[in-house]
Amino acid sequence: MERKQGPGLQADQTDQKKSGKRTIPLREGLFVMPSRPGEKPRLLGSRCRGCGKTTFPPRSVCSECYGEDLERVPLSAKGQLYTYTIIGYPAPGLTAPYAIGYVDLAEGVRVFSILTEWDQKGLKVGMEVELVLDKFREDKEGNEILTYKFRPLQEGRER
Amino acid sequence: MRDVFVIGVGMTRLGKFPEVSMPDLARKAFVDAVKDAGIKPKEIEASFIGHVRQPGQGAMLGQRIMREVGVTGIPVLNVENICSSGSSAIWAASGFIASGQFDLAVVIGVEQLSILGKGVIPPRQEDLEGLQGATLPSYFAMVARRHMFEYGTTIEQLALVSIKNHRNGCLNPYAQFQKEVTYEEICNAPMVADPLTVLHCCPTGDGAAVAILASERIAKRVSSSPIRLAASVLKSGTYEGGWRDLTTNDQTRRASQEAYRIAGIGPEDLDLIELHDCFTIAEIYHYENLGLCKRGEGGRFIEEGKSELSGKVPVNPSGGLLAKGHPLGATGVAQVVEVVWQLRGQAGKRQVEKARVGLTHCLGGVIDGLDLGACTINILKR
Repeated sequence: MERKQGPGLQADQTDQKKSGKRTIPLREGLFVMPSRPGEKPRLLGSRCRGCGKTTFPPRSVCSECYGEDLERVPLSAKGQLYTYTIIGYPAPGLTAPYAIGYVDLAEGVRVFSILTEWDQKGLKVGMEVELVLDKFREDKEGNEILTYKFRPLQEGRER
Repeated sequence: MRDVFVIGVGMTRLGKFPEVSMPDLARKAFVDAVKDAGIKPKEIEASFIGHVRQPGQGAMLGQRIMREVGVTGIPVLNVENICSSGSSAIWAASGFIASGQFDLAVVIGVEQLSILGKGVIPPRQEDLEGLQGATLPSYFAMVARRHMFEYGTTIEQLALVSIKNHRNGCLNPYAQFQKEVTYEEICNAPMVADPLTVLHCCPTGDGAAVAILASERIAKRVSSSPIRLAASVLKSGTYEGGWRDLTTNDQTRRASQEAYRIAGIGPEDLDLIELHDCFTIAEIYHYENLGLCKRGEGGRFIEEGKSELSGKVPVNPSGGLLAKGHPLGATGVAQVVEVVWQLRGQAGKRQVEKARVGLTHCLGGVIDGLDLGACTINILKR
C-alpha cells in the first residue's frame, strides 16, 4: 500500500499490531486500497446505470434522474486543483496550518480533499495533483484514522 | 395575494452581551418595535422567531420570548435556516399575511454567540468536508482564490469591502464595531484561511432585531406612508455533485431574479442594498449575483466607488455583517430594520439620499454538495 509520510506520522505496522491498534478508514466505502504493488489507491464514486452521472461521495439516488440503480466505480487517481486554501484557524480537533482544496477529476467529479506536501511543493490553482492515502489523525483509542489526500505532482506557488 | 407592510421596527445594538439572556435581548427590541408601530402587543396574531438553536440553549426560544413580552397563546413558529433564519422568518410571516390568514405578525430575530466561546463555526460533523477540516471561512477563502484566478480580483479589492463597511459602521450607533480599519491592519491581522484574515471575516456576537408585519388595513391605520414588503423570496441551494462554478452563487441569482420580477423592478432601480457580507469576497461576488455588474466585475465595482455611501448604489450602509455584526438569527431582520429606517429617512448620519427602494439579501449555511443552504431576498418600497 502506498503510504506517504507526513508530519508526526509513525508508519510502523509491526508496532501497531503489537499494541492492538487498528487502521480505520475515515468512512467506509470512499476509497479502495491498492491490492498489488505499484497500484495506486482510488476513490470510489457512484455511477448511475441509467444516465451515467457520476458523483463523489457515492449516493443512493441519482441526482440527475432519480434512478436507484447505481454502481460503485473507481475514480481517476489524478486531477486538477480547482481551488485551495491554507487554514490558520483550524476546525475543532485539528492543528493549523493545514491545506484543503477541491480537485477536479476526469469523470466530471469535484472532490473536497486535504492536501499534503503543500509546504514543500507549493500550491497553485490549476496544478496537477494525485491521490494518496495517509494518516488523518488518531481516534480516542489511539487507532489510526486513514483518509485520502492529494499531493502536487509539480512545483508551483501562487505568487 | 394581499400586500404586506412593515409597520414597526426595532433592534438592540449588536455586540457581546453574555450577561443578558436571549429573551431579554429580544424583549428590548420588541418593545421598541411595538412602540414604533403604534399598535398594542395584544393585537399581534402570530409570532415568528428566527434563531439558530445552539447546543445547551434549549428548544422553543420563541415561546420563552413571547412569555417575557407578555403575549402568549398565539401561534409561535421557531424558524431555523442558519444565517438566513431571521430573513426566513420574515418570508414565513409575509406569506401568512399575504394569504389572508393573519393581519398582524411579529418577526423576532435573535442570537447569542458570545456564550459559546471563541473560534470558527464549523459545518455539521456528518458532512464529509467538515469531518476533514473544512470551516465556513475556508469555503469562502476557496471562492476568493478561484475568483482571483479567473477574474484577476485582487486582495486590495477584497480589503476595500472591509474598509468601506467599517467606515459605515462608525456612522451606525447599532453597529458592533465603530472604528475604521486600514489596509495595513487588514493585511497584518491573523490569517483565518488564506487569503482571508480576521478583518476579512464577520465577527460573532449577540443581538436582537424585530419587524412587525401587517396587512394594508392595519398599515393604513397606523401610518400615512407605510413601507411595503414588495417581494420576499426564499431559495435553497441545488445539489451539484460535479463541477459547480464556485465564482458565482446560483441561488442568489435565482432568488433575486424572482424577487425583482415580483416587485416589478430591476437591480438598476435599487437605492440601497443590505447584503450578506459574511466575508469580503462574499460582498464582491454578490454584486455580480444580484445583477449590479457583470460576472467578474465585482472587484472593479467597489474600486470605482459604486457601492460607497455616496455611490451609485450604497451597499451595507449599516456597516454590514463585517462591522455591524452577525448574530445569526438577528441578521436577516436587522437588514430589514436598516432598510426601513433608510426608506423613512431615519438613518441619521448614514442616510442614503432619496431612498425609495431597498433590497436585503441574506444567505446561510455551507452544506456538502449544495451551493449554500438558504438565500432570502426581501425588497422594500416606500
